Amino acid sequence: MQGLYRRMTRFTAPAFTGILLSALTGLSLAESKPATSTDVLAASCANCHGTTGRYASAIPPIGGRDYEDLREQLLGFKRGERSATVMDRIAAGYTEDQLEALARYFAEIED
Amino acid sequence: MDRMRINRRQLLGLFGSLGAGSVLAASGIGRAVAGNQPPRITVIGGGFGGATAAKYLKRFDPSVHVTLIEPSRRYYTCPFSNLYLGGLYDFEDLGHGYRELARDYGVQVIHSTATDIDTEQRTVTLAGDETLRWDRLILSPGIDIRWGELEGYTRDAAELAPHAWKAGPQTHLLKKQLESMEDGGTFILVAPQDPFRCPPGPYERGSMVANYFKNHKPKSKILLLDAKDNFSKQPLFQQGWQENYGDMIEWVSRSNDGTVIRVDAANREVETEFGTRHKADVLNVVPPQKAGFIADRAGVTDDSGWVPIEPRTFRSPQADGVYVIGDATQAAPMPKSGFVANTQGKSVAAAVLADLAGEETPDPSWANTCYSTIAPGYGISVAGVYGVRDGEIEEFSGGISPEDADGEFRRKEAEHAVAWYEAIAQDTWGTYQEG
Ligand SMILES: Cc1cc2nc3c(=O)[nH]c(=O)nc-3n(C[C@H](O)[C@H](O)[C@H](O)COP(=O)(O)OP(=O)(O)OC[C@H]3O[C@@H](n4cnc5c(N)ncnc54)[C@H](O)[C@@H]3O)c2cc1C
Repeated sequence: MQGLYRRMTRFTAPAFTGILLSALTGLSLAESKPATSTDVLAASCANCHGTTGRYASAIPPIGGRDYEDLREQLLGFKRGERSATVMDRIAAGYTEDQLEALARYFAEIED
Repeated sequence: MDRMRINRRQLLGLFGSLGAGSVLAASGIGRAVAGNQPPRITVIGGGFGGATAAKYLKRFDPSVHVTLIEPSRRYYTCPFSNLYLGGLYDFEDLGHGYRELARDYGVQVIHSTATDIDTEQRTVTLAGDETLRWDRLILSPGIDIRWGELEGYTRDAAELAPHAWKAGPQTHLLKKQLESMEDGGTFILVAPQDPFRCPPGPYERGSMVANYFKNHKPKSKILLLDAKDNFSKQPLFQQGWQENYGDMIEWVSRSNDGTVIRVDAANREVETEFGTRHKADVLNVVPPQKAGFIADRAGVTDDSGWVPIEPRTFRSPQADGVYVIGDATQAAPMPKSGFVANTQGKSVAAAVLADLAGEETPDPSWANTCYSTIAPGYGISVAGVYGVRDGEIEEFSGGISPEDADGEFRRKEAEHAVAWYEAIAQDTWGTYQEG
């Protein structure tokens, strides 16, 4: 169990910062266009999945995944057809149109 | 319309600062005359709300000029500070810097404290008296303690009976006191009335202190004295306490005389509403709170000490061009959580940019998932999705983890808590990397 909690201060190592950052921060996604409602919706997902949805951990990444796959999962959570720890409680708060827009948004993020 | 108002204000500001002989005059002329400088957005507070707002302003529109004012070079999170107390996390793993914001997003980060705000001139004064001009201001100053509101609980008292409700020296003090307590001692936590920062926080703290006791001081007791009759995720906490700690933790509700009305920090003693005295070996007081003081300086608080906001935009109805997010605001039914402050940082970034462009505010949407770790590998959560309906903030969905979930479910949520912490640190400060 200790393994779950020991982070070993891994981010204080200077070598760790600055790798591939310009590629990863996803600035290119939003160059100078005003934020849309979908941008705002999607930004909530970043909290657990990372800024571009690609944070890989016990919580699965969503950025760059297949649209149909994401859509099916999100709608499944909303309808209570897929079991989840928290995503069923969250997906229920969005309309099906919003969930489809989110699936498209994250599917379009490049690897 | 909006543009014209800015220009008029800028001109007024210009004359004002010339009159005062301020250093601002030069930059004011440049912008007021040329009129094509990028708008300046100043964000005060580099915590969950402010750091996120600064980053997402630049993500949404790299052309704006964003300044973030935060005194600390390294911000330590309250989230997971209970796990530090419980012996599961190193304190340094809770620290986050501002390098990504500065280097990768082009945010100007100034390590200083904002001491005053002039909403007429649209300036902010920093410690050391430097003055900066802004076109839009976002405040995310978090909370301040209402010293003395709970009788006997003063700044000095907090050096004896820590609150540890801002992560830093107070957290270390509490940890040290727990470590020097003898086995068989009593830890008392005093929990406040709503609203306060992190509704499940006191109960997660009780859990993590219990984890520390279980491993190091198993004869010790925990008493949670509460000014409320119910609390966040209550059935899950009570079930988890029973399963993991037997009867080590006793919770005393308000109706059972849990409300503490007086603190004697020197003797580590508290007195309740109906006159019961409790003596602690370690006394942790979560005191009454209010918005960070700079919100008062900006004139955006009301009599409650918190900040009312317009729901769609988080603009203050009390000061032009000022937006407020995070714990400082009255945004119920959203809780005062880091998760919520982060999502408000994003919606406010979109709202400010729309305002500057003279466009409609995109529909706001917020979310929350607060994990609490009851024991190693035993996690629970409360979640919510929020939006605006008929001009009010509403919870669209949400709820707590199922009460009848099995150990596997609790283990997964304990893992998700850790994963969440890393992801929000990545999203807010860029501490961890994606990919
Ligand atoms: C024990 C505990 C556990 C918690 N656990 C969780 C959890 O698991 N999940 C969760 O989502 N939330 C949790 N929280 C709540 C979370 O810490 C807060 O909701 C969050 O910090 C609010 O963000 P904020 O931006 O409003 O304020 P803060 O994060 O407090 O940031 C405010 C910043 O503003 C700066 N500041 C203040 N005044 C000025 C000024 N005048 N000039 C310049 N800078 C200034 C401060 O230095 C600070 O860095 C927990 C809280 C506690 C106490």
